[in-house]
Parts: sequence; structure tokens; C-alpha cells
Amino acid sequence: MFARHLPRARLVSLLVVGGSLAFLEPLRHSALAVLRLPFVLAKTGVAILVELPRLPSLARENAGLTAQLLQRQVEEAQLREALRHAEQTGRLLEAAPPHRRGTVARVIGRSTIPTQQTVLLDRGERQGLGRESVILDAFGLVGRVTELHATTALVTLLTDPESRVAGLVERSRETGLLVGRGRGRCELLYLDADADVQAGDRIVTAGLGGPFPKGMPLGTVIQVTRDEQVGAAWASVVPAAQLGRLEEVLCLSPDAS
Amino acid sequence: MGLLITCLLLHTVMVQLIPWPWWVPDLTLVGLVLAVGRSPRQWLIYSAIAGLWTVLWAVRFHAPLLAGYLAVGWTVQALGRRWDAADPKVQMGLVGWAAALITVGSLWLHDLWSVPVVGLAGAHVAMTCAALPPVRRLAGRRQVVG
Repeated sequence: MFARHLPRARLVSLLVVGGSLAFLEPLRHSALAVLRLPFVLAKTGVAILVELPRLPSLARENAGLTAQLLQRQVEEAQLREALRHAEQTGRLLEAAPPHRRGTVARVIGRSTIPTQQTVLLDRGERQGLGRESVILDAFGLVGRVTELHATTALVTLLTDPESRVAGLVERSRETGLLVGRGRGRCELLYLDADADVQAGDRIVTAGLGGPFPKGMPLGTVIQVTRDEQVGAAWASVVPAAQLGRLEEVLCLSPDAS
Repeated sequence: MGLLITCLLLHTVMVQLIPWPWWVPDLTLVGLVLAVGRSPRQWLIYSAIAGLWTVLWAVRFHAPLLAGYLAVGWTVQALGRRWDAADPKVQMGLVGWAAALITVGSLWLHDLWSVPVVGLAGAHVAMTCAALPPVRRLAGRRQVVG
């Protein structure tokens, strides 16, 4: 009915235009796809031209944000280190016997002489340390102070060849003398040939004289050698303290015992 | 003097980084041999500096340690009169001899003759000898730059 009112020429024109539009649709898609890149470039160019005057302030803003980020990263690292320090100090203080007061010290140097295994602490006589102060880390006994200075102290480690500590096998209560061997190990000497000691046994301080309180972890037995002819046995012991990774240690002054 | 001080500091830093001193080359000794080889007349000062620096960490046998470094310094300057102390082979021989002297002396003083420790001591002497070429290169570069 609608077509009847339209003149024929107009109807034909409409049909032609409509048909061409349907035919042209894929062509349009192709054209727009091709033109996308120039449009994007043109748009970007305009955006750059618009933003160009803001560049100096943006650069300043960026520099400020970068500085802030760095500052936050440094603060985060410091906080993480402070947290680690607090945790380690807490563990150290837990490791101390309840009746003895301790001072936390930092390891600031190591011996360059392989046969003298010592570390240097940043605390000395002024901070209340004494000769024969007992040094611990969170895992066990580290050694004792053998040289005391005003603000530093040299600690002889358990593995030093001159180190001697009375030790006790925690499980069987056998006693012996833990001697340093100048390398990463110690030896528990003066055991009977039939002494009840085996690999995996924990060795603690026997508390028989000397500055070391009883019951502090010394290490773990890894091997036992028995000599029936001599009637003696000795055990190879890995120290409990992490002597290769000492950072902070607890110093128990002999006066406080 | 700069070379010796650099070696002393490098040795100290390395010991802090590698906590088992057997596995650290004795750069103090390497520095001493090279420094005395260059300036034989200064052997006493150089030996005293190297010895005192080492004794700083010692809790016993201070005098024998110092004497050991003085002996090394004296020997290097004495041999330097007859042989060319700048020759790499001579320097290697001197470093090897000096490292062996100091290490065996330490083992003897501490009466440490177990197989593992002697093995570690051998590795220590070998590493000290192996440290000579890089230190020589470093020293040569410093000299050229200076």
C-alpha cells in the first residue's frame, strides 16, 4: 500500500540504494579496517599535540612517583630487616637460661686464620661482657669470649682446635669432652668403648665447671668410632649453632650466673 | 703499599663472605709477596703490616704468626736479589712456598694432623697459589692506571 503511493522512480531509487548499501557493507568493513591505522595515528597525533604542553609537569610527576616508590621500597626493606632482627632477638632471648640475663651482640668480623676460628663482636667490656662470657645463637652454643676489649670481643668458636666443652649425650646421659677440630666439626672424646651413643643423638652442655650452664644444645652426633683395643670411643658432632651464618648472638655474662 | 693494603682488605672482605677460612685464599700473603717483590727494601714494613693485620684476629700464637710473616718477607727480598722477583714463575713459587710455610706452621702449632684438615690445608695452599694471577693482573692494571 505504501509502495502504491510512491512514484515508481523513487521506489526504484530506494531499491537501488538499499541494494547497493547491502552490497557495500563488506566494502565498508574493509575500508574501515584499512582506515583504522591512519585514524589511530591521527588521533594519537592530536592527543600528543594536546598533551604536549603538559609533558614537563608529567615528567615531574613521574619523577616524584618514582622517588616515592623507591622510598617505599627502602622503607619496606628496612621494616622487613627490623622484623627479622626482632624475631631473631626474640629467639635468642628465648634460648637463654631463665636465670641468666643476656646481651645481644652483632658479629662484625671473622678470623682470616683457618686454624684459629674466631669471630669479632660489636660489644665489649663497656657493654657488660666479660672474659669467658658464653655466646649463643638461636640454635645452640657458639663459643666463649677469649679476648675482651672495651667495645669489642673475640669469641672462640666451638670448632676452634682449642675449644673444650664438657658435653652430655641427652638421651643416655653419657659424658665426654667436646673438642673443636679446626673445621666444621667437633669430636666428643673420652667416651668408653661401649658408651651408649649413636648417630642422631643430641649433645648438650654437661655443666661440669667452666662458664657453660647445663643443658645448652651443642650439636648432633653424625658418626661414632669405637676402638675396643684402647677401650675408648669418640663421636663426630655437627654443631647445633649455625656457625657459618652468624649475625646476631646472645652473650651471657659470667657475672650474671 | 697500596697493593698490600688492597689485598689485606680484600682478604678480610672475602673471609666475611665465605665463613670457612680454609676456603678463602690467603690474599694477605699474596699481597706481601708481590709488594716485597716490587720494593724489596720495604720488606720489614710490609711484613710487619701483614703480620700485625693477621695477628689482629688471632687469640693465641701471636709471636709465631708475626715471625712467620717476617720470615716470608725476608726470604722474598733475599731471593729477589738473586732471581727476578717480577717473574710470574718465581712469584708463584714464592707464594706456594710461603703459603705452605704459614699453613704447615699453623698445623704444627695446633697439632692438627687429621686427614680432613691436611686436605683442607692443601686446598687452601692451592687456592692461594691460584689467586696470584688475578691479583697480578689487578696490580698491573692499577699500575698502568696510576
